Amino acid sequence: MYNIAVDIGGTFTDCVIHDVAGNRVVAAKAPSRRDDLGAGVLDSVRAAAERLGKPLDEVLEGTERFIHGSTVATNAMIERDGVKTAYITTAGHEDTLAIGKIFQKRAGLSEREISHLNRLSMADPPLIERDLVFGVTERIDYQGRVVIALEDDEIAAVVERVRDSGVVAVAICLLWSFLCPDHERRLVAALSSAMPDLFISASVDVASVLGEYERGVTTALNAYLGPPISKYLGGLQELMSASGLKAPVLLMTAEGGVVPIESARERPVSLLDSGPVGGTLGSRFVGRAYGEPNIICTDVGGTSFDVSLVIDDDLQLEEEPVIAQYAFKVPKVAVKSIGAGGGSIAWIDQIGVLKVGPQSAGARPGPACYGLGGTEPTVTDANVILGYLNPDNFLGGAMELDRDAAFRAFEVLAEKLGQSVEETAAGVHRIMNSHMADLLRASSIERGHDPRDFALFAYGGAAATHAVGYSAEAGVKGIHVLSEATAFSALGMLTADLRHSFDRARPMSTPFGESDFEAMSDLFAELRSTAEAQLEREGESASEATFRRFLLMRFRAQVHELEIEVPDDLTLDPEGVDRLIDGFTERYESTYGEGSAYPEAGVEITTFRMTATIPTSVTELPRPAPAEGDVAAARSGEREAYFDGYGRQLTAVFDGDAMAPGHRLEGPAVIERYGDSVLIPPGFTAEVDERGSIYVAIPEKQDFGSQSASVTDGRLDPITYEVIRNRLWAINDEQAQTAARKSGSQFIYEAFDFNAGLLDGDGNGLFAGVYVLFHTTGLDMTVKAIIERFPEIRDGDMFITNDPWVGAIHFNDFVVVTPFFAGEEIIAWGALVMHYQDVGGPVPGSFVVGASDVFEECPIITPLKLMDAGRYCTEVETLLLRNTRTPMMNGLNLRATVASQVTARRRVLEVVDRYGEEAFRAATTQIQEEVEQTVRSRLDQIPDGEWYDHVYLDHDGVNYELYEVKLRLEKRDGKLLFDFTGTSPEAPGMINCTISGLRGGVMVAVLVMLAYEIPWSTGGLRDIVEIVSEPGTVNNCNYPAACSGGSVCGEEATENVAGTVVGKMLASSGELRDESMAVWYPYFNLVILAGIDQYGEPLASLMFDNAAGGGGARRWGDGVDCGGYFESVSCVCPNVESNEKVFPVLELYRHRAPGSYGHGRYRGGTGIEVGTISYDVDRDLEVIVTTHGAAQPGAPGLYGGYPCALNTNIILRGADARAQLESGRLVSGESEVQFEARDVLDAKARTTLSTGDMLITRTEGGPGFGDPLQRDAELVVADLQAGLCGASDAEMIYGVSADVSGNDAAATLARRGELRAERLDGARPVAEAIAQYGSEGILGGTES
Amino acid sequence: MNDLEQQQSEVEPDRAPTVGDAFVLMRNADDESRWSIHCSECGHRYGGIENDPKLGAVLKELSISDLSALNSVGMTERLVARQFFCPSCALLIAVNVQQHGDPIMLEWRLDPETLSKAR
Repeated sequence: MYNIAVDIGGTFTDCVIHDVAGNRVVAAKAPSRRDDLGAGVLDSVRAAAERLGKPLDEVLEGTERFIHGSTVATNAMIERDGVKTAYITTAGHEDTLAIGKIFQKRAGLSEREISHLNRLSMADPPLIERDLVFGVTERIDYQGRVVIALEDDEIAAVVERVRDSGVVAVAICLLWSFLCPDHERRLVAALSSAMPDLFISASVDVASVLGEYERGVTTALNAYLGPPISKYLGGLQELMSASGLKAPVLLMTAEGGVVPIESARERPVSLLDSGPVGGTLGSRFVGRAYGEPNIICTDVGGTSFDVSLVIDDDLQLEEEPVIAQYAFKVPKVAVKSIGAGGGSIAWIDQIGVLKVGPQSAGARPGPACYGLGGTEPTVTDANVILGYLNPDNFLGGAMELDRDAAFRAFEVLAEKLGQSVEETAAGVHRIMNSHMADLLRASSIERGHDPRDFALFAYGGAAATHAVGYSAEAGVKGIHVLSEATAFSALGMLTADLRHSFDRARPMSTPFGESDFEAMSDLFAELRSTAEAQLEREGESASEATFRRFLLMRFRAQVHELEIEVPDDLTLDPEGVDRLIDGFTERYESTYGEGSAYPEAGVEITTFRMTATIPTSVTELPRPAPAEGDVAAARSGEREAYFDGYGRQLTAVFDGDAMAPGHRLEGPAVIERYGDSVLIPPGFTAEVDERGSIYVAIPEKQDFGSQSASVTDGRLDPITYEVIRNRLWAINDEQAQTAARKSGSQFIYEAFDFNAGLLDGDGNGLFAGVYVLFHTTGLDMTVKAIIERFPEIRDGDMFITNDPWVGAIHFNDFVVVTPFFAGEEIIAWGALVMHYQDVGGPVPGSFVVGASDVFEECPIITPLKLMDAGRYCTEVETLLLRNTRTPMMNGLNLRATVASQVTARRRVLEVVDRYGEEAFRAATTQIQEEVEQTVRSRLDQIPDGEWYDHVYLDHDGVNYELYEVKLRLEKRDGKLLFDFTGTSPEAPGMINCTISGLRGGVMVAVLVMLAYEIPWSTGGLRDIVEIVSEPGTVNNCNYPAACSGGSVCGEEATENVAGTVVGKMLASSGELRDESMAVWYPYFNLVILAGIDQYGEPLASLMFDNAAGGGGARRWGDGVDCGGYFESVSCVCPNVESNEKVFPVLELYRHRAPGSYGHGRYRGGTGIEVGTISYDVDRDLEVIVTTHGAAQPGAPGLYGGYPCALNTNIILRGADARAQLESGRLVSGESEVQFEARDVLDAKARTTLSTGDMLITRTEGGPGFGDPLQRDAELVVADLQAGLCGASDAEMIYGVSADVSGNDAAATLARRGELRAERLDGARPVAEAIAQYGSEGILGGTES
Repeated sequence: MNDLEQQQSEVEPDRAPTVGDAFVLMRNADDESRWSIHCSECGHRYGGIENDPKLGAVLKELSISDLSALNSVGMTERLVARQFFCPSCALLIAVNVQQHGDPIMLEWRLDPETLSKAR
């Protein structure tokens, strides 16, 4: 009897055969065949059978389990090789996938990629074309009640639309369908009846969870991939059966189980990203044999380094993985990856720092030493140079490596660095290890675990050479370099259980009533029936299955869910559920840190989950026989190898195949096995363990002396510098993520309105996180003020302030900074800034419309100690919480902040301990120098000169008035002078910002547009950026001017004008012109709803739909529709379902706002428009508006591009929208509503939303770039067809003559000619206008 | 080869410096030490590099509602949309929204010594 597992990789298909009777396992490889994957599978099985010495048909006929893991679904998605798919959703919400919650533009990208805002876009091409999205009139509410029933004629109409569209697959996702699946089920029935061959996915079957975006993406992915995956799998089963296989083919899922082929064909989304899971499963299996329940699994291939965890013998699942920028809802074994492998290319950046990856030479041409034409220096080349790989025995001798070619590839690098080739190669090896160590630390720390509590398993072709290096760097206790490492993923698949998982979302909160307990039992019973039916369909016996119940739970105020198992013997009654809640609370604290749980908020169950598992019959894998002789017998030779800090060492070489359990050896040594070479550096000891793996113990206190930092004249060697720089960058992100995880505020976990920073000992900015940038640009002011005001600063102190004259932007933003001491001296500062949703004052939300000075606004907290030499100052917490309407949320934020600072302090001091104070200080200096030099080198590619522009603020909260912010940017000799002379005096209202906001606005523009893909270090810009501004102006106000709106008023105005002139400047550079862009979403349309919510609780919170303003047009393309802010790349527009659950509202429609952008050769991205009525409350709600750009366009376009359109908030009084809803009609715009009065709200407003009213909010899009008459007519037509451009604009602004059939090229040419003539008709010379009005800017010299 | 390309090839064999795709910078035919700003569409000469390009442009004042119908709820009486065109081919080079009667907002001025960086 045999068990077979086959794993298709990019280059090779691996097969492992477990010969049960013969007690052995063999592995073999065959080239993957992209044109015929099934044939590659068969080839690999044939090769393995040959190694077993058995005929293929005999092996296949005797096979009990045949498991297949494949990247076929992942590749189909990445290469967009799915089918044309339609999408059916609730009318009014057809843009859900296009809006992408804003977050789609950065989902799954690295921090480095995210920092380059100019290059971010929504997933392209989109999964579903917009013209294939069909809305149906129906509506269910947040409690699952049918508001509008889905009528038969509506179903018939959409069936015809689907038929006419010619699609082969359709996805269905209706709002709140998971609470009431009837409408989706009826659509499925009608469609399958009318079109039996159509592949249909309904969200209630694929992902029955809260959140229409993720549910919709999951369903769309399933439909999109369904037909091709189904075809492939069907063909594979036929092929294998024809070759003799009697057993059904089982498919490896990303969740870590296997399912029969029929299940996989119905739910191909479950296969997405299942590739690395085999290794994790195998690690767990092997870990049991070692008695290791906690494992970090590391897989190093040619292009990527994958890390996953096993904790307490459990696989760790992520509930919302991402593929190709789409976040979807299928539980998946959590695997973190970076582009780091044998093929990673080493390079030197423009200021001379050595880098490794993420670019890879891939398999072809591959590393230079492969001799296939590659010339770039790679990690594998470094390993050959260093003597770690044997050129004559690579892949078991199957491939010969060219050592000379590797040397040649490294010579250029070495020359630039002024080092020897070997030193350079050693640096590359060390940097690679450091990158890997950072990822594995982050992977464990992110879940609240210390990597030192884990064993580490290494597998994959390139793991053996790096494993000891990255393990030692990360500080784990020991590492197992596994046997059969190169085919370990396939081996791991053999250990997979047959497993199904069924989810049912049903939110319910404490206190639970009798009906809740009944519903809980009923839901689990229903899931159990579903699971049993599934097993029955697959020919399995339910009696052999293990069924496990789980609840996904969270604190009511928080977003982070934990999966809590419901024991078999637990009854879902008050006592039993209390036990579950206790377990949840305990688990929460162990996951997110002591003090993070907030039981006072209540507990919410979001999802019921049932798993059905039939265990694998593979219970043990063969073990090799113990060693009989001395390890010396396995020694095959010796060669020189180069080790960092040791130089060339004579290194013993061992034949891994001749070694056996019990053999032990000292480093330096290389153990050559089939397919890999295990490197044992000097000072380490290796032993072959009982399972044939190589075990290397990592001493608890290592002597890093041999690799210690080299500081010369205050400068670090480039290798250590790169290592420390990356470590500190990661620590800053950890600081931010720790805070975000623990905060319960929607401002933090949804809008990411916070940020973290690290500063040097003097308070100069080193790193700013990829969240709201202006939060970190005043941190140096805060630190310097504290140093000045507090004569004694002690280790364990922590300071807090919201003073806008001391670094905060406005009162809602609490700045916390923490000194990190090394000995007696402060070596660095940590910082965390969060927006608190209410900090007191007369107006809920603390944006004090109507205030004339700070005394009418909110309490100012000048810098105080929140911790005093390690003591948490509860008296300060009391002071802060006494002054807010939201003490629970604010208290949670404070705790989250403290936790993040404690974590950052510990991590930073670990670095100091590891490399020494001198090296640490040198690194912090060099980080700033690197940023300065990089920005200077970019400025050096721009002509010197001056650029001018201005923006307005409209309405000061008291008066309907305009305020102007003027800017002259002068660029000369590598410096930027931002001169705001002429800006309006400070206003008698809340719109001013202090110098913190002024600096923030300038720094945001400079960091985003000139400091992309490098650390955001404001310290590095201090000698580049100079600001001239008159105190007492609207963006540099004096105390006690009102400034509670400073963040979204004066600061944003500064940011808008600074971004505009920097965009202008960049467009004059030959090299950097593609970096030119207009600003994104100039002014946040901030709308707060206040009152009493549908649960009877106080309400005072922002509607974050309005985060979805449009991206600025780029010199090379349109702005991102609903792309979000300029100052934050991480903002999110929540799901409609989330909003309707939190707020007493029903969102009748939400779509991209046509014409909200600035026109241009490239247009700005669209804003968003939302139509809302209050819902499930009979009281009025208060609406508080704080915005700009409501009376005047918020920001200019560039080079002929139009400014964006206005932010607009309208309340239709006495509207019939609710009556229409009740009579079965959904409105999708103002034109469909009858009303008694129309209130267009000013930029600052306080008013009511009554039950008879309808609120329409519309945000600005992005400004445009270039003359609209130069726009590609086809793009205009596409916008016309998508409803994003009106016919009038197409004709009058773009000069495009088109109808539904497309552009009429001749008519467009003629129309554009007419428009050009009209432009000049009546135009007058500018010189004449200047004579009349004067000018802003320098007129210039005398014309020659 | 159109007139502009002809001029560029004669005066500046390498790619001519450009600004914002709307302007091309060329050495003066009669004095190669001096530069002029030209329209990238038609070659119209806006003026010497010492001057702001708007000085050689024409302008029209429109309502901000002409930029977008959505602007009609704004300060339409108080604000004006100034559009700046090439006087020869009507290429739109800038749009400024300002208060009626406010000084003309100029665009940019580049240092002739560093123009190679615009290439």
